[in-house]
Amino acid sequence: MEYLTAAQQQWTAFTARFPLETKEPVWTPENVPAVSVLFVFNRAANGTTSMEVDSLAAQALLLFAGYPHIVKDCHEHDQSPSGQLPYLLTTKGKALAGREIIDEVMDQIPGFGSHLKSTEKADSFAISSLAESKLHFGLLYDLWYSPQNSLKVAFPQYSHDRPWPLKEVLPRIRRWEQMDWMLKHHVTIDKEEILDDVKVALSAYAVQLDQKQYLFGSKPTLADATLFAYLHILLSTFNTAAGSHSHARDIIMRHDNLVQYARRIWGSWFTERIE
Amino acid sequence: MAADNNVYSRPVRISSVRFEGIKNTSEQLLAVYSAPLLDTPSKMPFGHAAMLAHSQADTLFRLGIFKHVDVELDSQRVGDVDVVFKVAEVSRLYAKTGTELGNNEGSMTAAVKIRNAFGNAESFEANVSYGVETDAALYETKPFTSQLGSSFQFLFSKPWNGNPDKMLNVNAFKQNKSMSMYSSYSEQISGLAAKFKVLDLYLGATHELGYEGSWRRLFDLGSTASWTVRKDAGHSLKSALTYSAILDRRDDPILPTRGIYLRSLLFWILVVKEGAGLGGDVRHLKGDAEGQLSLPLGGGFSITTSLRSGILWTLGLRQSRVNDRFHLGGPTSVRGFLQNGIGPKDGNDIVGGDMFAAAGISLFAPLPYLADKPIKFHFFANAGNMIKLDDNRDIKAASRTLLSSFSTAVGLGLAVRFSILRLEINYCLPVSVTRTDSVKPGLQFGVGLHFA
Repeated sequence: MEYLTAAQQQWTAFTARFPLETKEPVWTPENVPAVSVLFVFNRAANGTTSMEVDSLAAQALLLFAGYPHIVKDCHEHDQSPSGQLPYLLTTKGKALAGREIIDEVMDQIPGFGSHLKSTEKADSFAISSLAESKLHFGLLYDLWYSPQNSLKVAFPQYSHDRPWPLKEVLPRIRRWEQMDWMLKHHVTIDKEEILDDVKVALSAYAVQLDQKQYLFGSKPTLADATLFAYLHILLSTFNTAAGSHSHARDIIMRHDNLVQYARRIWGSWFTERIE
Repeated sequence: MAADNNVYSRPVRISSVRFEGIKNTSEQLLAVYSAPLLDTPSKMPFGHAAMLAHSQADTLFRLGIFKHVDVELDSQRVGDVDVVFKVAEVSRLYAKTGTELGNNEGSMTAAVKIRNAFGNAESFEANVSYGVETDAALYETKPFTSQLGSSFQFLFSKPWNGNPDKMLNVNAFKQNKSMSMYSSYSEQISGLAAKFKVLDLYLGATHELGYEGSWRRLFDLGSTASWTVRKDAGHSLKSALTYSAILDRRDDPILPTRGIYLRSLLFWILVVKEGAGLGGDVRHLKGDAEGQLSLPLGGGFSITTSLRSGILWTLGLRQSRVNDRFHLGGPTSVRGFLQNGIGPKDGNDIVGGDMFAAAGISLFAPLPYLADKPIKFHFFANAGNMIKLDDNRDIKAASRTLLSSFSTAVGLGLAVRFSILRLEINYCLPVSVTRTDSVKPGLQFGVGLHFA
């Protein structure tokens, strides 16, 4: 047994010498970015705002908070950790998506939104939820449910940079996914019900905004980023493609303060293309 | 003997060709085999006629639509010979299910095949498989991670002009595979392929020319995927001409002791303008070649050497995509390293390479008292290196970098030949490695059909 133990020890000592040589790799990956990069769904050519609401809301949030970043266009939702754009590549090499982007901004810019009182913070949360539940449905209905709008407005956005036949297939898959989402959240797609919800939401926003610069005073908040994204997408997307029409846009136009608000934010914060 | 010689040299004429036992096979296909016999000279030696008839019978059998093909030469009149092919057709419908287990993987498969569908030896086949691959051998008791994969394929094949050595294959496929064990993504591939395969029995060579169009999607990245993988996520379309050539003159493809094996594969991704031609947004030329030489040394000893290399050259200013690159390393590739364990890495993600080179030498020795059994001692030394080209478009500089250092390993063990695969059990010692290599010192199992 002693011989066996000694032999085993000698063998272990011998094999421990291997590998005899360890070299540095020839190829090294790219360094982490020096400044955080926000990947958003494609902006229009020479435009400054993304054509998707979640991406535009993230753009607005980072600008409002003063979070140092650059913006890059991306048309692949699969690049995002959550499977949906936008995503933020931080200087630590982490990829963040969805709620993680908001948490990152709040962590890095603790003063953002600090001017809100506790009741205003609760109202801000409720108002953001209003957009995500009621305005979102209105946007999806106008953009994807209507065959005319989806063909003239949505499909060109999602077929850009794609080779044939993907440029025909992928927008239709995207439409199916959006319709599926709508049907999972509403048993039936009732146009009147959806537009009534949009009216209720926009009326509440118009009342909250009144004649103020932003929803909660003179400084923008997360709720402003969310509202601006929906207003801007609905106001700007449907006024170029001939034959397209947005019912939600018509409702927004009845609230002059909301229209001016959207124009003001766009004119103040999105004058330059950040990249 | 003299009488036998007289029989085989007697001049005869093939006056008729008959097929017995035919139910579903078409006259058109049978005419392909009868016509050459009827077109023979009016007087030729009987032995020659018999050889021709048996040759046609062999070829007919290789169509795969007959259980057996027997040939009789009948003579009703002096100088005339009637050739009779006696066949039994296989059943048209064929179904198969099975499970396959390897060292680190298991899969279930099911297939349905319709043979001789229209009477011209065409076949339609649909098969589906579902597999699990683990990062630890299934015999080990430690916890393991796993990745799933599934595939579905529909295949149509037809011999060209009734010739089984020239096959036209068209298939539609869909494959889902998880690369979570090597890299942080899953891939879904849907596509169509059409290939024309020519078999040269005399040389032992196979040529295959084809077209493949596939829609690929890289997804399911999660938050920990590296940037090198993340930037390739999403959809891409590959439209490619392919050509492969294989020359296999080994005595045994699974555990050879003598012979040569040469293989090359070339992808030419069609370059077209956006929105025109055959589409696709992947632009590259990809080729790889492999050679193996086995030499007997006498007394049951043999030596096998192998050499492999490949290059993926992107066209224009594009970089290659992670799902197009090469991978290197593993028990059937470069022993002493984990599967895909050699080459560029970004964090925990194996990202593949654009150029690789690998070589190996193996000595097989008979076991005492088991010299006639298909189990051998195995001593090996192998090496490999893989690089990513990125913006480096200087092929000479890249080649110098590739050949400047190799990851190497040596070892010994056993190689066992089974009817359909080879099993190797080796003790590996990595000698020279790169810091990012996934090394496998100690015992390593390898199961497969083809080993480097």
